[in-house]
Amino acid sequence: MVPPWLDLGFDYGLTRGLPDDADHRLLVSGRGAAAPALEFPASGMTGQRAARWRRLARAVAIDDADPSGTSVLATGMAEGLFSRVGADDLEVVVSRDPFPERGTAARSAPEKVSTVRLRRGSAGLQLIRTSDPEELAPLLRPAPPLEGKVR
Amino acid sequence: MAFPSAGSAIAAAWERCWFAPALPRPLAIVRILAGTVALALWWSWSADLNTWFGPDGLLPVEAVREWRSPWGVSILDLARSTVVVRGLYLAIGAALVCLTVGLATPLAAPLAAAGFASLLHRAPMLAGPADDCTAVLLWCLVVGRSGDDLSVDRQLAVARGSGPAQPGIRNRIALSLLLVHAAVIAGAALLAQLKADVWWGGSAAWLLSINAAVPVQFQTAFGRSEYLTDAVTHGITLFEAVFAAGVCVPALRRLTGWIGIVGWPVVGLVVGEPWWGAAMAVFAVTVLLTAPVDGDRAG
Repeated sequence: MVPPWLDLGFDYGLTRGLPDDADHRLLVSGRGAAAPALEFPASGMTGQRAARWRRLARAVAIDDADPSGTSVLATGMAEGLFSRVGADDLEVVVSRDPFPERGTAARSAPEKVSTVRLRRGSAGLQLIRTSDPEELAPLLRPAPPLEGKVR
Repeated sequence: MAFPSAGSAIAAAWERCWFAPALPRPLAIVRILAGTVALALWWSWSADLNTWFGPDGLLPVEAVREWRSPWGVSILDLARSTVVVRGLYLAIGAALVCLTVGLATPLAAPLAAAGFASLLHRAPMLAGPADDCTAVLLWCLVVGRSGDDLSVDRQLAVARGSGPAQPGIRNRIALSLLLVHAAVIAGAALLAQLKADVWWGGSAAWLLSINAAVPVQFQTAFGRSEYLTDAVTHGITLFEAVFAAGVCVPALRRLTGWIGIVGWPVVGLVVGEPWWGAAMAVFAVTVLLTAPVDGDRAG
């Protein structure tokens, strides 16, 4: 899903000037919560550390935008996010800062690029792309067998 | 006959470029600088190491394997506990320290390069241009004998009564590889920019300054003056073109090297990638150190 090593190119950030080149942010909240429980990069993070989180957020957004894909990154992150937020039903949002008009000081509010819902239940892990309501709740992992638990 | 003489001239130039023995001093300087940049980048993973790679981390090996290229491998893939993740990470750091100070360099150089690449392959979605360029620097250092000068190894050799460091073909190959990569990276960045309207139109510097990693003073300055924005935008592309071409002309390498040493860190700051600028400046140092001295036509 990624170009081979050294084919990544050296077209560093913003060489294309596309919206995708803007700063991305990852926001994770319990379903229905008013404010995100986790935000990456967190406020106060700077330098390479913050840059790595911005790259991760961008990668999640690109991954989620692939209609034929299974959002590998978002689902892979699910278990870690469930334990960190302490909930089994999460909303994972990637937002980005839109580019302002040239010479304009005012910054627009961040725009949502991707929103997925991650849910863990008796049926296993579910990922729901909330931007595609017709594709609700594809089952990504079957429920574990009940072997040894059935009496 | 003109053809055989042209052919032999090309062969001689090729021979000089790749196989003329070179002293280890230039490569030793590159080793110290590249090792320092690599250590800074290595350190930037430390705060979130377990958040990403720990047993309940956000980037489990299975998910990353699906995402990255199929031939990507990482020693960190084997780490299934916090202790092992931390241990492998520290081992990579130790290899980088040994490389930087030139301790057991023949062993430290490949371990440092492989370890650094391992870190990037464990989570390629977190790697940036500074990481890529530094990986190239480290692999080029594996080829040469960079520990033969300005190193702990050298001090130990002197204590044993060893003579002065000798020129070597491996040093020349490593230096030439660094030069080729310097030209290719600058050329690739230039080509990527030429495909984008914002670099032709002059607004790229303005867009760059919006990045959170760029000092806010740039945005203020670019917001005030379109002329400045245009000048910086076109100045960056011109600089990259001059650097990529200048590396290939031995007679221009001294000037190109100095331009790069000043220019790359500035470009790095403007594009919000200061460590990328630092890594490229290390390439520029190589260009400067391989410039032919007066009376030397070899290059």
